[in-house]
Formats: sequence, structure tokens, C-alpha cells
Amino acid sequence: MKKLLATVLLFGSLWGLFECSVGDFLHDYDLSVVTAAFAIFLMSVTRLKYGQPGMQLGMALVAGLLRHFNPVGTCLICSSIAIIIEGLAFEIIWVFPWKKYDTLSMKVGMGVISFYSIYAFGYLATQILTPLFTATFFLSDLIGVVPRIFSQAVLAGLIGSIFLPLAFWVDSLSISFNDKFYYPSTISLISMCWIAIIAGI
Amino acid sequence: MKKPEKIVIIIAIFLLSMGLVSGVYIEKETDENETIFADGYLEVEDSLLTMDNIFSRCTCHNHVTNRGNYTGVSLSCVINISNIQDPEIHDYAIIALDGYTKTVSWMDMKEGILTDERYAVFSHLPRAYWIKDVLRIEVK
Repeated sequence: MKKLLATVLLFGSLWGLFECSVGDFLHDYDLSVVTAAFAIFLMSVTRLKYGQPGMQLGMALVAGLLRHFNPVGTCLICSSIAIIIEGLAFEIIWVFPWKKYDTLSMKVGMGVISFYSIYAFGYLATQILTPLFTATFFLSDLIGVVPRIFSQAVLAGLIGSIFLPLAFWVDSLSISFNDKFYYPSTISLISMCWIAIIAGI
Repeated sequence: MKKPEKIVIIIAIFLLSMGLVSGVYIEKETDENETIFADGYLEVEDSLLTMDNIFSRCTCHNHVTNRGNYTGVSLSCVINISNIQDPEIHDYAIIALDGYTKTVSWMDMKEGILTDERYAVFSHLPRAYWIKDVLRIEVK
């Protein structure tokens, strides 16, 4: 349990650091899909490695909170909402028993479905929840953005068709850490991420 | 290939197709509005204003945000020169060239600016409300 919590904090912090450091930069070029793809890949690898349902939602909560408290950025609440919803959508998709079909076509197909829908749900959720938290929600605004969401999610789906099989390959590698080194290195990495985020990297 | 795999592949193809069709729709919308945009016009409800006209009639302000400084005219001034009756009682839908829309209040319009690159910047609102390539403002 202690190791699992440390792992959730570690990967959530790495995800948060990635969002805080390059998230806004990529958003400026309409490439938020890259940050989402990184996050979904990270969630996929950790889910395959640890096989613990709920862990990825925990990572998303850590990353979302870190993003919210990052002093740099212009839409901290939209990013935080997107991150947490991505974690939730991931948990829902991975409840389905598709992993027992250990074929490339299943991995490619689920890569498209999971990356596409997780990105789309995250984007959609920010468009609904951000106005509710900060201004007023208008359905017409949401309708206007739906084609854009579906269109941008294509890139996420295509990335997923490569990166989900890649996550399975990463899982097949036998990487393990000695507990003696695991906790000190994990705490060091978490501290480094948090300091960088609070300092406004 | 087993049945679940076939279903997954069909759903994946459906999602990608839906995204591609949406992309084509956005392109079509953009192309239809490109002429007005390229000619330097901004539609405000029923009137067409040139960007030059807007910038000659409204005072430029400097807006300091944590994403940099932006210079532009107040969006409330854009509404005022469009002769909208009782502007303070309406909401305003700001629509981008690609159809992205965000609706804001009159108070937000007073805070927001429009840059000469047609970027609507609201430093007091989340980034989702900052709209690039503003094409039209509709009164609600």
C-alpha cells in the first residue's frame, strides 16, 4: 500500500510537471493533444505494470492539483478539470475486459478508442465545467466547439494506435527497483517536481 | 479475428471517421467566412466594421496578463460603435473563424480587449475564453 501511494504520487507529480512546463506552450500551438497523449500513455504503462484500478485516477488528482497550484498559466482551472476527467475516463475504459484479447489489432483498436475518447471527454468537460465555475454556461458555445473536439481527437486516436501497443511493450520489459533505492529516489523525484512546479517552471 | 476485436476495430474506425468529417466541416465553415475575415471585416450583429475603423474610433489599451502584454481596443467600445441598443443588458457571443464560440457578459466585454490580430483577450477569465481569429460578435 505504501509503495502504491508513493508510485501514485511519483507518476502524478511527473504528469503535473509535464503539464505545467510545456502544457501552455503546446496549447498556444493547438497541440494540447500531445500533453493528453503523454498522460494517457503514462496511465496505460502504470496500469499495465501495477494492475491497480483507481491508481490512475489518483495520479490524475495529484497532477490536477499540482496544475491548479502552479503559479504560471492562464487557464489553471480548465487544465485541472481536463486532467482529472482524463483520469476518470481512463478508469471507465479500462474497466471493460478487452485486455484478455492479447492481439495487436485489439491493442491498436483500443489505442484509438481510449486515446480519442479520453482526450475528447477531457476537452468536453472543460468546456462545460469551466464556465460553470467561472462564468455562465451556454449550450450554444458547447455545440460550436464539438466539431473542433472531434476533429482534434483524431490526432489523439492516431497517436493511441501506436502508443497503446508501445505501453504493452514497455510492460513486457522486466524493469524492477530494489526497495532500498525505490523510496529515496521516488521521494527525491517527487520533491524535485513539486519544487519546480511551485517555483513556476 | 474474434467478434470483440471486430467490434473494437469498427468503433475505432467510426470515431476516426467522425473526427475526419468534423475536420472537413470546420474547413468548410472556415472557407465560407474567409473572405469577410481576409478583407479585414468584423461582423457585429448586423453591421460590418473594418478593423481599421474600429482601431481609429476606439482607444487602445495595454493589457498585462501572466501570458504577456497585449494591446488592443476595449470590446465594449466595439459594441458601442456598432449602435447596439442597451448594451449592458445583453450577453455577447464571440465567434472565431473556425466556429469556436464563447459567450460573455457586458461586464466581461468591458474588461476584455480585441487586438489588431483579432485576438480577444480576457485577462480576468480562463484561457478557454480567449479567442483567436475573431470573426463575429452576436448579441444575445
